[in-house]
Amino acid sequence: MTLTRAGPFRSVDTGPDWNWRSRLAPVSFTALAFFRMGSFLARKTDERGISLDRDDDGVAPTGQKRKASGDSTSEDLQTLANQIADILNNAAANDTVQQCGSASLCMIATHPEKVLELAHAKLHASPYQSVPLHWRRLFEDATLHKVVKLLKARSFKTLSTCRVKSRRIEGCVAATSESGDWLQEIAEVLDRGISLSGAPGRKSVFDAIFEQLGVHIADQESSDWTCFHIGKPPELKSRHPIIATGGPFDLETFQQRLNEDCKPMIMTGAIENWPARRLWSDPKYLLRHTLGGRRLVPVEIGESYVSEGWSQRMMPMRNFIATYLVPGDPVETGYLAQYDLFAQIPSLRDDIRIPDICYSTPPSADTDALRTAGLAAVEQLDEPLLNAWLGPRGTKTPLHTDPYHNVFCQVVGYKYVRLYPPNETDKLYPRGLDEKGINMENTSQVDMSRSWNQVRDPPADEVDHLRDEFPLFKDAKYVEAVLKPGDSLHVPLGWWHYVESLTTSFSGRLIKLLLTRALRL
Amino acid sequence: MSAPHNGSLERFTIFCAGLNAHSQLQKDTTDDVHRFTPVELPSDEPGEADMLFPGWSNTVFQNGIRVWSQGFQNLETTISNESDKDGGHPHTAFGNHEGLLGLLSPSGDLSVVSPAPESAPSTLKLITTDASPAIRHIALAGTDRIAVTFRQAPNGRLCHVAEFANLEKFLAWYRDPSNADSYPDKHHMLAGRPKQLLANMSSLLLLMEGGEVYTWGDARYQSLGRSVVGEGATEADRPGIVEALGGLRIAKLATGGWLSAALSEDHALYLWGAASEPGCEGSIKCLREAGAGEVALVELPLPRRMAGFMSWAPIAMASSG
Repeated sequence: MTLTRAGPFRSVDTGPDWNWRSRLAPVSFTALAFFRMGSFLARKTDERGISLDRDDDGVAPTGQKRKASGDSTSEDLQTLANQIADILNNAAANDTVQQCGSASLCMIATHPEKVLELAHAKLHASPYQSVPLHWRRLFEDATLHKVVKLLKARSFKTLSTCRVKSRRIEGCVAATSESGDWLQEIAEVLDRGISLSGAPGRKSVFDAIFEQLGVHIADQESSDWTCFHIGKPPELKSRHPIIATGGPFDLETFQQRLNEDCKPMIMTGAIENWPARRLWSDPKYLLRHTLGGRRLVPVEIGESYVSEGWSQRMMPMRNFIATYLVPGDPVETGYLAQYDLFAQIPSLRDDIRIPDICYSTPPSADTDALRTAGLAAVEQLDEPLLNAWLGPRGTKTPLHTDPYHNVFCQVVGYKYVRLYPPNETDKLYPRGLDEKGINMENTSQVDMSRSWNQVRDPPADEVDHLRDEFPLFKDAKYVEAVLKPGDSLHVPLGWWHYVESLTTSFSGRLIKLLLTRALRL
Repeated sequence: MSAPHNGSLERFTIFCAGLNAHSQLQKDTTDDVHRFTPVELPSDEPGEADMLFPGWSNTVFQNGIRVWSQGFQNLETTISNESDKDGGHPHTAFGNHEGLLGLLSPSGDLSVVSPAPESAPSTLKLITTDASPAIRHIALAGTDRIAVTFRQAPNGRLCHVAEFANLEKFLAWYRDPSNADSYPDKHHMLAGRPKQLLANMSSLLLLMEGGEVYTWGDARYQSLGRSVVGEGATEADRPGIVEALGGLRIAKLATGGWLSAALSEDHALYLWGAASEPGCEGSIKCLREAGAGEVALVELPLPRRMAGFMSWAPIAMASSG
């Protein structure tokens, strides 16, 4: 099943597998309590709501100890399982999930796998937006029931194993290397549950479970990976640079500027206060916050979403980093792109701060911008849409538009960006419907990656091809820049943008984390 | 959950395999049935039982005028003893994951399952009156959509198909067809005389007496066996001919999940649909390569009587792929 990503505004109508991108519901409305398990309290925070263990070096504040004895691990897992079961069994009588009927609900605790199969089929029976809420609720509840079973099984196994061992060895390390399997299995069940259902009713339960499971990661599970090596690329000498400013970045100044002239602008230094600037260049940090890299993330594989053979796959974060980020010359390009990582990993959300400028009111779109593909279908955003991009050197996002304003924040690494204004649309040859009937008109037919290269001019035959196929393209006016760590770029509604991650000279690796924030229309 | 018939000339034995979590196939256990096994029927049943409805949580059987459910649904009832002239399945059953919802007789009498108080079994209640629309076929998809065809005059050549968003809306119309608020969600008119109307998880299929096959519904997993975009293509939500079967006289259709099969009069079997259940591993080899408007011809040993399959996953066919 191939999916297409034709611009961030369009919900991909090919099934619920990728619904994380924009559909996670706000905090659950069902009754729940964050788990209290003796010393395993949720991370303590300071008066600003920021964790005391901000650099997350594994030294926990008081109350977040990791116990070493196997017996207490078994006990903890059992307690966690019981707490989840309590929440599930105390659902309100008029809970939406009741609409699924008794045939499935009567066996959800004893046969959660069967109920998952039924809910899974129902989730795929209609386009995701039309799937009745009660099937999504059934999928997430059945997921949690399955996790209860897995935790209890693991609890029992740990108990039996350690009781045998403790006759020979004093104490027992909680998590051994073989225990990674059980954690991976549970993480996959949970992540699949969140991904396919959107977690409409139990998101906070999922989050709390992951937080509790975090204490079972063995200390020795850290890898020998060093920080991503970011080599500074050569300076871009451009005759059409994007305007840049060093501030001020308060809301009022920005609003004023928007009202006067809504053009793209780079703001240098607007995100200096982000902990992410210090923390996200270390893959070990990312592993710690994804349950030792076990959390599943959607990865795009292939040169770009319009290239042949492009596909998407869910994989553990550790595998993504190991296969596509760490190697100097990976076989294929793997890109964690346009993904609401923060909804899945709430702890990473603490590493960023929404810039004030994102609360400005953009002016009404002009005539050209009003033609932007997808504008009619976009809903008003009550909350910011957060996305993350994490990938190696050489990722390419084809020239496309979005039906809203973007603020891209470059956290780690360097990216080349080229922007064309809405009034140049006719020179950019937008696509039409593809063979599956999906509207791709927000994407240009021009393959910019073949005609632009940072270090050399495009080959002559490529120039000829461009001139023959897309004669008007060379006359289209644009602005361009290389975003460096700490830069934020405002891309107004309807502006075409092409983004390519740049290489360094000899280390051969450049990894960047890119954040966009969609502004309200 | 599939319960195919396997017949010799004189007797039928019902074999079953699949999900048995509600003991709908084998009574003494809730373990799944992994090999085709004769289904357990009540020992007091004389003669032979027919399988009327295979659901996710139950199986409904019929013997003469007696209809009963095995599995989650508690159903015990009687029906009229009509049979059509071919002596095949006289009634069309429709239902969902909770069980049987209703039965349509060959003469167009519609009965719906009526729950009883407490632990008494549900029964079937006839709801057809003289004022009721005269319907011939009925089919309920996994998306809750329900479609019906109308009884035609003996020389009628125009087939009407009405579609409703769900059973409740259909019943509201059935009870009061002149009420403008109850009108069908969709109404299609096709040339020909309908022979079979079927539904699977997300789409509907119509076999005409002339052998043409129409499909419509959700096109995402190649369930329709035809193109839905491009020159001359019919949109997904309207019945369109399966061109790949053009020229063939199809005798019978079967469908379940996202998979459909057509048996031609010369005993060739064609498959189309999703090579695997969406989002699942494992796939049917002959379907993996098929495009949107293609069907796959399946090599099968004789005999080729196809009763049908209503499986959620293509269990019966996967082993041959």
